[in-house]
Amino acid sequence: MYKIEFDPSSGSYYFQAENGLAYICQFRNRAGDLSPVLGIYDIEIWEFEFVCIASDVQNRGFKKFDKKVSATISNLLLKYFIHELRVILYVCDTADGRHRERHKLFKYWYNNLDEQENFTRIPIAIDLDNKNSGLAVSAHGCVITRKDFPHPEILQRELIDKAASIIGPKIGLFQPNSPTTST
Amino acid sequence: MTIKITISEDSQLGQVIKKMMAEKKAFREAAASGNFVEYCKKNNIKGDKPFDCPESPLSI
Repeated sequence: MYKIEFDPSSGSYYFQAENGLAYICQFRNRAGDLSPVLGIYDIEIWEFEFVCIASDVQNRGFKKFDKKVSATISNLLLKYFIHELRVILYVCDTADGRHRERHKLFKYWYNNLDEQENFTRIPIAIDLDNKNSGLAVSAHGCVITRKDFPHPEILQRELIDKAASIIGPKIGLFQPNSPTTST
Repeated sequence: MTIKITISEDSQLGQVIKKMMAEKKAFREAAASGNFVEYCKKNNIKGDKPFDCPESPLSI
């Protein structure tokens, strides 16, 4: 795997791959944005985001498959999950049309996570509707916890069900605790 | 099984999602700018640090 370093000015974890790509990852603490009930249980929700940048012109747009990248991301995520109360929220929006590629890549990394059997992944799909303009933004992603995460019901209620309960009963699209299946 | 959620942009959670999307867009723009670190500084884009790691300035 590659060496992971932290850039303090941008708050990014990064590593340089042999194929000339630099992988830059950020974590954002979402505690302040979400339900305070999560804090009462000391549940930490951090959003994970990543980009890769060609660090030289020759490799721009060329992404040769590199197993060490997967191993490095796996190591990064394992370092994050230092205790059982941590949760990762990964959300990938559709705005630039490359969401499927990112989502597929993240799913690949998760499936190749060391000790993957010790983690739980819940895929989510979010539609953000604007009643006035009719425009909608879609996002796909997942919530990942360690298998020994002690409050799955709190997480389900405060992070997942609450989102549905805000809009679902009003327009009948979604009933709390009965997730719809999507492909 | 995927959990599907539809959220009104007008709701409190909708505003949180909008904020997350805006930050993601800014993060991608930083990556596309050709000078990631400078772009982040100018636009106040900064991640948090949930665990310790050797620090080294990024030069991209």
